[in-house]
Amino acid sequence: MIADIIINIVYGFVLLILSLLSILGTPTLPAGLLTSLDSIGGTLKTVENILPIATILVILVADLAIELAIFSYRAIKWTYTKVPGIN
Amino acid sequence: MVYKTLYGLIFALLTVVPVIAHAEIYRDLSFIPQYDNIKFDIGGSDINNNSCPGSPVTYFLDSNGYRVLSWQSTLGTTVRSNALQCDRNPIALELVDIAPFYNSSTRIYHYYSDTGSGGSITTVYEDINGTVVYGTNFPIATSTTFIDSSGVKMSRFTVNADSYSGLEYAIRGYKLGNRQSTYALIVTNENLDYIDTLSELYALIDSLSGSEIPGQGNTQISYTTNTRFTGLDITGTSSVAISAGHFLDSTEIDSTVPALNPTIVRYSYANRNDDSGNFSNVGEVISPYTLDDISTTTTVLNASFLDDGVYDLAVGFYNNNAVFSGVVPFPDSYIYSSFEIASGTLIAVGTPEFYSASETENPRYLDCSITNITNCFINALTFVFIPSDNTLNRFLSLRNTLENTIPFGYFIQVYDGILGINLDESDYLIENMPFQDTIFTPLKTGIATGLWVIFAFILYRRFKSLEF
Repeated sequence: MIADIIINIVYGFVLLILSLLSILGTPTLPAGLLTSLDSIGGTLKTVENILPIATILVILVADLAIELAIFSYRAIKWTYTKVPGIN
Repeated sequence: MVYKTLYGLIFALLTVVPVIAHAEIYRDLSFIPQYDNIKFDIGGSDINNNSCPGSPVTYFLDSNGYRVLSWQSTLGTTVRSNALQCDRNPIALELVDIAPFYNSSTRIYHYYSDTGSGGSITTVYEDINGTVVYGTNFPIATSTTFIDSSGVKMSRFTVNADSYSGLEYAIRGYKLGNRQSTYALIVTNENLDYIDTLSELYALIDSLSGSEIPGQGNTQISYTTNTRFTGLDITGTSSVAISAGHFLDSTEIDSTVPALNPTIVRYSYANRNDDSGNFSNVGEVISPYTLDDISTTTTVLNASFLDDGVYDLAVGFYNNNAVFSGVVPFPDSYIYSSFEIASGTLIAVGTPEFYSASETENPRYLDCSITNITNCFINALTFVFIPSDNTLNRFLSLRNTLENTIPFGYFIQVYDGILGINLDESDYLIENMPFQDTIFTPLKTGIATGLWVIFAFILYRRFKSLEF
């Protein structure tokens, strides 16, 4: 019950911020970038005998996720401090 | 303190949850055969589903030179009338067999409907020989409800981006290319129900042609439900009383769609000596309809009417409005037991076996009684401090919102793109390098180890420099 309340407050707060950000529109990356990611696998495979491509990709994705988390945290923290009455 | 809590939750949401979610998807769909017989491009900007001309198997070039698959919405409901967000990339349809809804005992997917009309669906099931059968069209009523992987029910008309995680597990369908969030669900042999969770849009592809590759239909993703049976007593002599205890979890019972909930406890029994396949059913109405507590139903059999022999007994939930034989609410929750009749008298009772997805995996509440006060305290602490699955599941859906929000969406799209890189195929693969085993494989292992060490070090430095 207590955990539900806390989590729902956090969820609501995050959702509120995301709703405000949604006025910026939908993020669309250049089609070429996504296409290149789609087709790069075949090229990377050629050097997989020598380089641990799968490991590199996993680390890249993990790093990206962590950076996104840090970025999100800072964005939400910044917004949180803008709430009147909160320092 | 608030910051750290916030950070912890956001970190979990953005790293652990998506990784787990992806792992789930990849783990469970890894056996799926590639299906590249049908390939189509959807190009250009958004296409309104009412304006796409022609047949879906033909293309036209849009103003950007992308081939556009034409399609149309035939069900035209509130949800389906939205436009489909078109994708500029060529999309290969990959047949997926989404098996969690396949139940080995009922041999049918968990799909519910009451009577009515409004479309049709291909229900996939195995026949008695284990052969996958599909193409049997049942009517979809407006109250048609799917049950997602966590047991949450959803109406056909409430299907949206928030419910995709359930729908993508719901029935067989097509996974589109490497876009993990886009699925086309089989509706009939020629129609696909199409859901694009990136754009939160939903439409129907009509008259798609091509042959299907039969699915395997034998892999299950276990999901947990707390609604279950809790006990079984078989007593008596000439009059055999069978009592089954059950627990109905209020979070899993959708009171707005009573036709989908357990209303009856059904006792099915058959004499092992009878090879005809016949069995008898007795249904006991659950009354009063008590939620979040253990209740009992009892049925009484007259042993003098039963032939001598050992009887197999299965106790399960049923709904008195169920329209399809074999489709029952919470089919993973049932009891198996046996009893023996001789000369019109009960002479032996087997040990009951309880089957419930949640019983061994994640029992939220323990049986609480005056003789077991400890469990009551545990239940109280569980109620107070352990968040419900519904609450946690909301964070899974939050990922979709993040995906469609600037600037987070850019991260996630690249994240998905990298995850989708396919290393399995290459036209330029060097199969056998000289000294592969002696030099390059150890070298590769060494590089991988080094990279992980460097990553751990960078991670440490990164977090050390963070200001909370």
